[in-house]
Amino acid sequence: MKLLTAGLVFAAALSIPCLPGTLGPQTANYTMDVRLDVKHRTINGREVLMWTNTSPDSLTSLWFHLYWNAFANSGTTFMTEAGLSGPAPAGNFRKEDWGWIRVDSIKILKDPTLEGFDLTPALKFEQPDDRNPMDRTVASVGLPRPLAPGETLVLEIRWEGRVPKPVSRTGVINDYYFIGQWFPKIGVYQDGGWNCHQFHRESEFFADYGTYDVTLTLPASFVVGATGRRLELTRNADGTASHRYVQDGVHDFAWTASPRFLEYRQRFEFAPGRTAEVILLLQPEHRRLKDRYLKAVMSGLKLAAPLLGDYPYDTITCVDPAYRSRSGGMEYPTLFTAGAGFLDPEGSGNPESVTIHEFGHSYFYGLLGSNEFEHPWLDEGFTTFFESKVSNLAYGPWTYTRTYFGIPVLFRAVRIPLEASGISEVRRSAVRDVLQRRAWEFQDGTSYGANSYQKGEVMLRTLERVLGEKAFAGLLRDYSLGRWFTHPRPEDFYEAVNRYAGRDMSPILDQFLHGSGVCDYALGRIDSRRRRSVEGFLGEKFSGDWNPGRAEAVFESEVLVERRGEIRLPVDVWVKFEDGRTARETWDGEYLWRRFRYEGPSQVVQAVVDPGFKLVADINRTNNSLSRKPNRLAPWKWTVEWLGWLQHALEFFTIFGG
Amino acid sequence: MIAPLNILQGFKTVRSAGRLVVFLYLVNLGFSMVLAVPMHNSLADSFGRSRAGENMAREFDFLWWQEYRDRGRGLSSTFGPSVIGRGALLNNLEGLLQMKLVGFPAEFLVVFLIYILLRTFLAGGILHLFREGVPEFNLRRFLDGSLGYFPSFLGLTLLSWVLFFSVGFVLVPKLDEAAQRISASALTELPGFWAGLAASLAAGLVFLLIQAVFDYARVKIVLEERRNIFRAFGEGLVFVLKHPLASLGLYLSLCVAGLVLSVLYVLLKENAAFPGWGGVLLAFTWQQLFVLGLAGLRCWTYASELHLARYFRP
Repeated sequence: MKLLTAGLVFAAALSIPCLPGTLGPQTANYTMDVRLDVKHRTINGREVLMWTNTSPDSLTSLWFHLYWNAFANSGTTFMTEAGLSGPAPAGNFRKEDWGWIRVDSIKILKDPTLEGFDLTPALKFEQPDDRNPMDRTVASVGLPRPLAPGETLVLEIRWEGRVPKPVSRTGVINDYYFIGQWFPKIGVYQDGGWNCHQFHRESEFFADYGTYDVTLTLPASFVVGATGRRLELTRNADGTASHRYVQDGVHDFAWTASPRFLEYRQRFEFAPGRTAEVILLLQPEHRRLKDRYLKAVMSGLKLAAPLLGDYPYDTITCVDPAYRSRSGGMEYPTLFTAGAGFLDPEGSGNPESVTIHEFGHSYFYGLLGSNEFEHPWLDEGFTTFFESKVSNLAYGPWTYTRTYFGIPVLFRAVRIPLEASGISEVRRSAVRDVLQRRAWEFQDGTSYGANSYQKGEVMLRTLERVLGEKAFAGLLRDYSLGRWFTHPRPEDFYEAVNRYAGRDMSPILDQFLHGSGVCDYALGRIDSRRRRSVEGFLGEKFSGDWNPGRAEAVFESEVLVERRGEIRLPVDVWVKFEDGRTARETWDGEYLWRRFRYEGPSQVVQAVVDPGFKLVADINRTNNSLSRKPNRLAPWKWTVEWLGWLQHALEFFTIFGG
Repeated sequence: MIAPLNILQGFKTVRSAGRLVVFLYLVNLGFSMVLAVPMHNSLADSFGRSRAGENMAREFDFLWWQEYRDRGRGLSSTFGPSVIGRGALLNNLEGLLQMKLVGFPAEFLVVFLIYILLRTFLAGGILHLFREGVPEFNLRRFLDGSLGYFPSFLGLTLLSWVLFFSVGFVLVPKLDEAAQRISASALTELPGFWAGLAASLAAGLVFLLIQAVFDYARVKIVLEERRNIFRAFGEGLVFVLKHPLASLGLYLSLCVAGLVLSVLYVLLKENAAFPGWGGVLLAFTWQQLFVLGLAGLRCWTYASELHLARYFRP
């Protein structure tokens, strides 16, 4: 116990010089000095990790991620899973294309009794998820003595990494480096065990917060972007330059470098004196997209502030990835990659959508830090919701675009409404799994995407409309701001929803999170007929009291609403009568159907279930309404349009004869 | 000046063959109707009595279309926002140059196959009438020509398929591979983009060259009363190689005329649209005039090629 106290003292002495008003907990602080060797495509690093045991347990080992070993051979868990769902990502890898990370030494630093103690011999690879011996993406080291709760340990790790050919958003192509998940990174000790999963094909990441102080040394001609603020830039005599970046309140560090980047900077002001600097690293051939990229990031910053809280970091770096770098559309703390084609027209949503999406991760991935291995929807679902909401607010609906021979063509007559976002994927693929599932346990990548991204988004949009926009905005802001740096779990989301709904919403949320059913309410029937007076023998003698019955001036109408899916939600029904009267009903949506009956001077001409389009999750919107008469113009109009294509096709393809 | 002269001659011929052009147009319309009726029913069924029908009567309802596409099978899978205006033409160009045509629904392919065979049959009649100098439509003479040349023309069509599909399934993938090789070593997407575009253009030109050679082969069959399709093909090829400027100049000039016609059609279609039944009628009218124009252009091409072949006849 004495040793532990001493450890804490030394840890404090070693603590990274933090900036005033440090963000977030300081559980895992890294000071790294790394050098990029462009000739051999290697990175040599020295890492000082100061890690605090925030659990109530005494720990006898530490676990680390060595993500780049996922690219070391074709038998790793990542490569095996990737090969099952499509072409092997390393199918055409040459010897020099494989990536790996080798820990050369791990030593305890500045400990009164164990200073310099070499932990390297105790390093062993672990495969907690699948026992795959070819997978070396997780390693553990045994400690010479237990690490007590609250104690901080300082380690020095020396390592070398081989930068792979681009794979899974990291690697090098030509002179473009995008370096993510690249250093020995400690896992998260949680709930009595190490939460340190292997690198899977369909999975992102999870880590503790801390301060990163990283010095990158690479050729001086390179333009560099990285997590955090650049505090120092030193030109070295050997033609290299050292860039020192520091950022607190983050759980990862990524960087990119290329001599071809064009660098643009712009300031966003939240309030007088409170600004964030937007840095855009652009490919030269995408110069024309500069303003659109910057506007998208600015829109994200501006519109996220009232929804989720002011972006708290000083910088945000948007990287336009190099061609074929496979690094597009990826988020890291204060740095993300977007992606664009050089011809992308305004209105198509490219590169704006992906820019806003990846920026949105700054909150759900970055500031909340949910476990993406185990609850991918808490990041991707929320971020996809954020993307479509902010895009719609900033730009309105996108225009349908199709690419012919590499040239995108806008169809200005076709706008894509907000409600279209994600519903098709939910209809087609989400039913194959349930939403709350570990990332690598989905049936395949399509189902992972349809659930984690789109079903999550559609659930949130439905919830927003069921609770009301104002209540949901409060919920979202509370869920975000109140849980920054806390790694929220699904139960935290449940708690926030219940609080804002003022009732237990678990049964509704469970249907989305733990069920594979769909939401489909439909108008089964509308019917109106004149009421007839009672016909037959009206009296008790059954002789002279026979009444022939007659039509009255009153219509009896019936509206039958059906629940055709498994998901049950309260739903509104709107009915319109021929004389212009309307009626609005509410149904709890529980049983398979509900009948509404009316009597009045005119017949029903139209009925709509969910007229306010609250149930965005409804997979069949067409069956939500029924009129007495069909619209005859629509099928003719579109058949004629289609006929134009067909007639041209027949005439055009006479090249094959005649 | 040989090509323009014969194009002019061809125009004079086809100008007096109005009924023939209308006949070809009606054949196109008739075949289209075979598929348009089930498409209309499919759309009408999908709209039913829903609000989607009302929405689609006004504008394109993307949400409805997503549902329709996700459940669509067969012919309905060919309906989408890209059939509107320029998209229709681009879809077909892509269908040809990237051989996506073979992935079209079976119903379409069956109708298309029958249509191509019928047009092969009718081509004999067209050239026969033009050769006789009686372009005015005469069913008896027309059928005489169609029946008389059909075996040879069918043989030529089948032979042309060997070449077309060889190009489509061998040459085009090779060109694509070459474009991908260029893009694989490129720093940016630009070389790959231009290489891909050049590959598509090259494929398009080869397709046109094949059609031109087979057109002249048909003309040779009619002019020289050939029966041997291989010899006719050889003569067509020799003709093109011997008089490349005149033969291909004429052919490509008329292709450009087709392009101009298509651009005019797209401009009209996209900028002169109206709501309601009047709009539907107007759209239909533009389309029919366009198809009529394309049928006329095909006749014009045949007539000009015939004049050119006569011009160089020893």
